[in-house]
Amino acid sequence: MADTLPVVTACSYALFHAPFFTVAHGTTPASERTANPESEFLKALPRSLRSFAQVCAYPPHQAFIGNVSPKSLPQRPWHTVPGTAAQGGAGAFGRILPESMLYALMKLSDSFDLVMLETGFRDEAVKLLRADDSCAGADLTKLKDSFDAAALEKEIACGALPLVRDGKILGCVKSAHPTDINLSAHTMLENLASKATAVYALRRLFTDGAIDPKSIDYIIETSEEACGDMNQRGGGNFAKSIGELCGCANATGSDVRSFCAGPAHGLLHGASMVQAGAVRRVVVVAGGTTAKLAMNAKKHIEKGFPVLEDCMGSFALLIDGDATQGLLVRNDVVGMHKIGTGSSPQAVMQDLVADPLGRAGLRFSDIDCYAPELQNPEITEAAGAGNVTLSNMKMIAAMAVMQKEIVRGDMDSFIAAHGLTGWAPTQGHIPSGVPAVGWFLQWAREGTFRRGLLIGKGSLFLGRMTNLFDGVSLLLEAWKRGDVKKGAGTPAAAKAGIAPATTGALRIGLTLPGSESGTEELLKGAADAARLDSLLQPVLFGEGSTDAQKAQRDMERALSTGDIAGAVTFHYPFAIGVATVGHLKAPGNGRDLFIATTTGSSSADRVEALVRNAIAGAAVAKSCGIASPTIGLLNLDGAARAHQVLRELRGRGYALNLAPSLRGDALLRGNDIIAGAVDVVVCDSLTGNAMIKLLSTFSTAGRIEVSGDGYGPGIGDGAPAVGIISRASSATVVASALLFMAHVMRGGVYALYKEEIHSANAADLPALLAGLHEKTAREPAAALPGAAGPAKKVVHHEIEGIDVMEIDTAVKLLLSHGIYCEPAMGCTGPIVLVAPEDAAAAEKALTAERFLS
Amino acid sequence: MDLENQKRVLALAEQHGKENIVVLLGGADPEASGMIAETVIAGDPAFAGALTGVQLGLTTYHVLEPEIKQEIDPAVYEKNISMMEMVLPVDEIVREVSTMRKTLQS
Repeated sequence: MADTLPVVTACSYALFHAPFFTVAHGTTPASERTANPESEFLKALPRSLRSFAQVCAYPPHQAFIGNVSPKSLPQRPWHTVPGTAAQGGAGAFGRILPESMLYALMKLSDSFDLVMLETGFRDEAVKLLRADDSCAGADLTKLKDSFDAAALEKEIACGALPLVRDGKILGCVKSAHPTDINLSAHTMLENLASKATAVYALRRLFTDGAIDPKSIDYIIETSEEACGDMNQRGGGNFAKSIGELCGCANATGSDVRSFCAGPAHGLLHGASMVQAGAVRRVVVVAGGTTAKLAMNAKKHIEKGFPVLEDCMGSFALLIDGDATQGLLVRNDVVGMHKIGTGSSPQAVMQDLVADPLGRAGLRFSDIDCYAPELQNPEITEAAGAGNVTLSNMKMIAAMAVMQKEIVRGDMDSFIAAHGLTGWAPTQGHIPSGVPAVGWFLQWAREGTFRRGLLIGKGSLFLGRMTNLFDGVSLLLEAWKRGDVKKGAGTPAAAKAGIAPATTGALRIGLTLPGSESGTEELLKGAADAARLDSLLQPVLFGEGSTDAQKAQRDMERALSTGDIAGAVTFHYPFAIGVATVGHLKAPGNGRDLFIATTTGSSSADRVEALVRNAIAGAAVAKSCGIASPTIGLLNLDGAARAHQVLRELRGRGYALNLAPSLRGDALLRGNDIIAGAVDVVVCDSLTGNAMIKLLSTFSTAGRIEVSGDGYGPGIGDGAPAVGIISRASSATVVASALLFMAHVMRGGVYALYKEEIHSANAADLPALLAGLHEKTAREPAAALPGAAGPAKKVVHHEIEGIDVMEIDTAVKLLLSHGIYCEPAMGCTGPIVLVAPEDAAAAEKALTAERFLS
Repeated sequence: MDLENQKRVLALAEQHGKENIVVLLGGADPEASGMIAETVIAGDPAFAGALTGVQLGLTTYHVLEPEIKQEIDPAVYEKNISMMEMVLPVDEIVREVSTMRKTLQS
């Protein structure tokens, strides 16, 4: 069940042009009629309405239905843009429909004979429904009754509300109870209009997405209306009433409310239900609101605008647990405005943006597109409410400044790069983030979108139950199932040491024998990791055994078959060329700090190793979402030379963000590590190893490692997806190491490393390194094993104590003695691996030549 | 200014005495901030609420004004307001509210 990922695969939108409802049922005109029936506003209102053709031509409407990208909207004013023949009511993921279709759908949605249609219009309504492909199969016998004008007038005289087009009465909506205000004609009209617009959006979703309505398990309705009677005014349930009309015979459903934030909550609920395995397919749907029609019409008319709030909006989207691609809803990093947060905009944005990004290990600039309140600014600015989307983007940019990710002068360019212009009608819940889903899906399919943050906010104080505000944000990521299925690993890719970027369920191995802290500590770490990341499945090796090497061999086998996608172990020898990149939070600022490297050795040559460590560190940091990590070299032997090589590499086109120390020096000092002056600290493995041990055991007086994520994944050509902890790692570090391993695998660390090396090689890395070797004039590493000499055999015996500078020469010596061996780097230093039967002869030869003392 | 809030301000002024009340605004819009300041100092210019014709003359500041900022613990200000300082038209808001205070308050 934990394999089920909540992925949004399809969505649809609808706009219903409703000029009569705008005048008759918008709360602003209705209130005006009560307070000031002769007002100039009421006189001007009918004159200021738009035609259906104008509504279709309106650029933000074309963006709403998927025809004009919100990134390509023309300069404002938009309401003066003339329509073209090409701009109809049909879009890539939506439709614009006339009020007569709304009336027809209201009759279709009427289960209690409350909607009466005039005979001539009834015939037209049947034709309209038959002509729309999304209404195929709808029960049109609901329209079998019709009435003459006299019958309608009689009902209207008794309190029914008319349905009018061009001054002609086409029908009416009756009350459903003689005295209950919750079932009055007005409430029934409002609710039926909401239901009808939702029904259309859901039917459109099924039709355009070729989705079987019977495959839907659950419907979540998220509009702003309340259906019920005097004993339960908002009791519900719109959801099932909508599903009933859309063929969702196997679904149940319920309504979710939180003012404008309803859809974001609905998406969170639905995604969580899918991920929990309770259901496989959920639709989130909302109809429009009549009350908000013409809400700001006074201001619009005063400014010479037409009535821009003349459309009801609706949407439906599918969350599919069986998806192969779409937008993954990252339920693990949901942003939630908490009750204790208060209502200051800054605190709200902290909860909704900064916190979830922090938990996801992402920077503000890692979000391709923010989708906060997406109200059409032409409507809101004229109404004196400013540009809502832009205001939100300014707050997000300001938050990025406060987090020191951008400088204040870059706020505008940040907003231009990561924000959108709003385009949604001001129907409250409709603009609240969800209109972006259609575009996110499209951009993801086009390959131009990685992740977006959908933000829904709600003004809870309007209900006079609380002064609180509300908001939910959801990280949506472009996702493909790829090779990760049912928790299995990546067989082919793992062999090649390349794992695709994925956010799927991951099986991560953990070997048990050999811990100084005890198996219980490891098991607790594994359990904690699984609890913290429901998609991470720890796979244990060596349970009940004391044979650490056998556990590691089993682990390697599982990696090679793809049974596990990665593993965490300790005391594991990597081949020369592979070194691990550790990760912890910098004590000084709590930011991600990568130590490159901490075990293994990326090269036998010290300077080359430092250069390669910088590249490995960059790859790991990028896999954790840091797009352009800052990289600093610790001031160690050879660092100045390595820095020079990296600068040259950068000069030849390899994108490397070399950063100075806090003091402004080229190389880092120890305090820069504590302060977190850079994202990646580059050092040799032995130094990095000491650093990790120092930082992780500081608070236990060196007894046990209790902080950090261990020593990190092995990085290098052909590196296995193995991460390292130590025998002194506590459960906390074990859990963190497993989570970190899962995180980098999801981030596609091995593919990223390959890209990094490819870019570095393209910038002449081999030539620069060759120049290095000439200058250092060290022992040439020509006669590596495999070139000639004794036949290859399985080597498990470790010979320790050889200086790293001498390791190649030692290998050459043994090969010349006919002893097959491989150089490697253990956790405590370089080693030579030989077969157990050769161990004695090898040690004798090495001692004779003083490689060993 | 919101009609309900006008009622509440009037009630508070009567209960505690005008001289004991400072009105602290937090709105985002310069014009609206100025209008609220005008309402609680000189009465509702829209002649709609409880403060119509009532000159309370309340001391009124916007939270972004330097006089208020210096009264607030910098850490609290940083945590709650500094972000909006970057976003809002601070100078215009300060000008609107301080102008109302200076011209209307006797």
